[in-house]
This record gives sequence, structure tokens and C-alpha cells, in this order.
Amino acid sequence: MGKRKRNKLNQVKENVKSNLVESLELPMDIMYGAVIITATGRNHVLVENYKGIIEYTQEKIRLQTKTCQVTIQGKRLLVEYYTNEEMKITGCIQGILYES
Amino acid sequence: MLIDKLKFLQGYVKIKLSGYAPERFLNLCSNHNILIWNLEYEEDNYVFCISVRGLKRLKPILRKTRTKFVILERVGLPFLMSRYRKRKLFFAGIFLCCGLLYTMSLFIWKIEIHGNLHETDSNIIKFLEKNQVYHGRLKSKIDCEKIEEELRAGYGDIIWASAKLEGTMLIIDIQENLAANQQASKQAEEDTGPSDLIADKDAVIYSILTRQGTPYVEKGSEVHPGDLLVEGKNPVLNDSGEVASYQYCVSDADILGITQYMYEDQFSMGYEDKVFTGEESAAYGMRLWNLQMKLPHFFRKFSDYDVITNEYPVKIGETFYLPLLFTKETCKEYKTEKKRYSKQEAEQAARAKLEEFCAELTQKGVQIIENNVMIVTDGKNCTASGTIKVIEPIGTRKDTTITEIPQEGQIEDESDGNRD
Repeated sequence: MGKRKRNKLNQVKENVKSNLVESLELPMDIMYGAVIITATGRNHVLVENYKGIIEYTQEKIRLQTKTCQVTIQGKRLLVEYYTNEEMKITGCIQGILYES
Repeated sequence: MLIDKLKFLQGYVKIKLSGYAPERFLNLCSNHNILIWNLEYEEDNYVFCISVRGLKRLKPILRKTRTKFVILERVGLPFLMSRYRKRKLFFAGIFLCCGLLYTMSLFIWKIEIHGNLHETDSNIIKFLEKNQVYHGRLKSKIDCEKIEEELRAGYGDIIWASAKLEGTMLIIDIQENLAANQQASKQAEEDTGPSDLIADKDAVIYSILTRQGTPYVEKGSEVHPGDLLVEGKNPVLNDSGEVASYQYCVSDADILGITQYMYEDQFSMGYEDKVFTGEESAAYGMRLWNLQMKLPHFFRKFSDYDVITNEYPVKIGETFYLPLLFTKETCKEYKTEKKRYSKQEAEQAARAKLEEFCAELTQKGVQIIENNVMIVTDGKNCTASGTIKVIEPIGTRKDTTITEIPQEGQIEDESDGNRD
């Protein structure tokens, strides 16, 4: 009974938040902590708002974000730079995958 | 580009990381704001670049993640410095070179003058030297505006001057007023007291146009040196037709006279001609400030030769001249051969000389009306002689003698006395 109540409360909270963000046109990435992935051509991907690296090989880079995990697949992947806010990945990109 | 330079200045290392949890190591690095770049995965190892400052903060992270690193490469200025730290003279040399370059850039090593047609470069440079502007002077002691003023004051015909410093070069641009030059000098003369115009040579007056003064000659009259042409005083007559006083003025007239120039030129039919043998010898040298060093001519010695010297100043870029220049001295050997003019050649040479003489005359503003020069060649000599009749402006300036005229008042006084 208590669990269901809490779930409902959470849902209401979420709804209020999403309504607020939409009506005030606030930036999504700040309000939700959403990941921003900017892919330029086939060879460059810029990832912002991520939390950390889970796995890194030449073929696969798995990143943890606030809401989900992002996997970037490719060949000869290289992290050009890597800071707290953003990372740049170069190499032959084959796919960007979201897993929750 | 710039970021790469900054990274090089601060120094960075390329390291290989291996161990229990390298991914966690990377996350910790980003959380601690340690920059990592060029991250690569190679056979269970991570290879990446990290700054020297970041490397020093890695110790606790390494312990936490149970990883180890091996330094593969050291790049940057700090490493270069430590590698060459024992070569003190090398660093001293770098600093000395920089210092020397800086010191040299404080002086003027070249003065360039543009726009001078009437005055020669060397004249102006000499003039500047008198005003404490010379090669090797400190740039800070040079006041461009003062130079401009001095140039304008020192030379009457320079109507505009600009001086600017560029690198170690002082560039002076001037504009001369050539057309007004002669007028200006005339004007200066006119500003003085009353003057006459007198003949300076034998002539027959061709035309006379008087603007000021009393003319004493007319068209066709013959004049000799010292004769009065135009007098700088105008008589003022009283009612009875007597000269009451004189009005003095600066006489001004255009007087053209027909004059004769004697032309006489004689040269021998035999002459010596320079024939270059094509043999050359070069000697190199250098000059530092006023110190000249020259290597001797190693290979050949000639008895008769012409010397051509080329100077190559050393400069950085376009305008940074250093007080060092290299010289190349080339000696060209020649032999003198005795030759004789043929009759035609001699006449041609004589005519060429005569034409040169005539051209010089015309340049002075003289109009040639008759040319009675005969060219005669005999076995030994070629002689050109005769007269050239020309129309030219004549007359030189001379101060007017001031004639005293007894004043009327004095005469009256005397008569009064007689009456008494």
C-alpha cells in the first residue's frame, strides 16, 4: 500500500516537473541531467553530461549517464580528450546504442 | 595549435596504465579534474597523455584502483631543460644572443632617403650627422618630428619632410620644390635694396622687356661687360622738367642678347684603349661597425685592373639591419692597347663632343642660332674650332648708386639768407 502511494507521488512529481520545464522552456539537459551526444560526420562524437566510463575497448565504449547507459560502437576508437564535463571520441563510428 | 604549444611548455608524459580497475581510474581522474587526452586501448592496457602536474596527483588514485603505470615518453620544455641542464654555456649563448639582438635593435643602422632629386643622399646624411642623427645612434634619442623641422629649416627647397623609424631603419621622405627654387632665390635678391642690371659679357641686345627700372639699351644695341642695361632708379621731374628726386627700385627685366661662344677642342689621333682580358679575381671581407677586415687576393695578381666592390648588408626581415656587412671585391684585369682613330672616327668623336657641348648650352636655357665650328683632321691631331652664336639671357645684378640731390628747402634757405 505504502509502496504504491510513493510510486504515485513520484509520478505526480515527474509530471509537475515535465510540465514546468515545457511551459517555461527550460533547457532539458540541465533540468533532467540528460546526456548530449553530438555526432559530426562518421568520425567524431562529442559526449556531454555523462558520469563515467564503464567499459572501454577499441571496438566499444560504454558510458554511464544519469538515466541510461550509452554504448558507442566502432573501430579503432580513441578518446581524444576526457574531462569532467565532456569527452571527444574519434574513430570509425558504427553505432550509438541506449540501454536502460 | 595554441593549446599544443601550451602543453609543450608545461610538459606532459605518455603513460601506459594496467591493473585491476583502469576504468575506475579514468573516472576518478575526471572527478579530480585531471586532464587526460589521446586515450587509447591497446591489449588490456590504456595508453594516454597526462600533464606533469596531473601525474604528481595520481598516487592516491593508483592505490585505490590497484593500477600501475609505465612512462613511455616525456615531451615538453621542462624535460628538455633538465636534459641540457649541465650545458651552461649553451644557455648562456642563447641568452647572450637574445640580449645582443635586443641591444642591436636599439640603434639605427640604416638611413634611407626617398624623394630627393636636387640634393644627394650623402649631402642630406652629412646634414643629419651635424644634427646628431647618424648610423649607430640610439633610437630612443631620435626625435622624428625634430628631424622633419630641421630638414625643412636647413634646406629651403624641401617643402615637405617626413621621418619614421621602422625596425632599425630611419626612413626619410622628402619633397623638393624644384620649379620654385630659382624663383625663390630671385625673390631673395629682390628683397634687398635697389639694384641695376649690368651686362656680364659682350652681346648684341636681341630683345628687352623692362618691368621695373629705367632701360638704357634698346634692341640691336651693342653692349660690353660692365655696361648699364637697366638702372634701378626712376627720375621724378618737377614742373619745370628738372629732376626733383629719384624713386629707387629693384630693376627687373628680361633681356635676351646674342652672344658668341668660342669652341676649341683638340685631341690626338692616337689613343689608349682598355681591353678587358676576362681574368677576374675576388677577395672577400666583412665590416663590423667601422672595423674592416679583408682577405687578400689569393690566386692572381694583376698589374692593371679595375676594382668593383659589392656590399651585402646583413638584415633580419626587411628592415632590421645589423651593423655587419660582407664585401666582395672583384678585380678585373685589363690591358692597354694603342690605337689610332681613322679620319671618320675622329670626326665622329669630335662631333659627339661638340653636340655634348651644345646640349649643355641648351640645358642652361640658351638658344643656338648659328654654329660655325669646323672640324679639321691632319695626320696627328683632330681639331674642332669656331664660334657658336646663341641667344641667352644676360644681365647681372649690382647695387644702384644713390645720387644725392640738393633739397629744395635748402635752396630756399640760401636765397632767404641772400635777401637778408
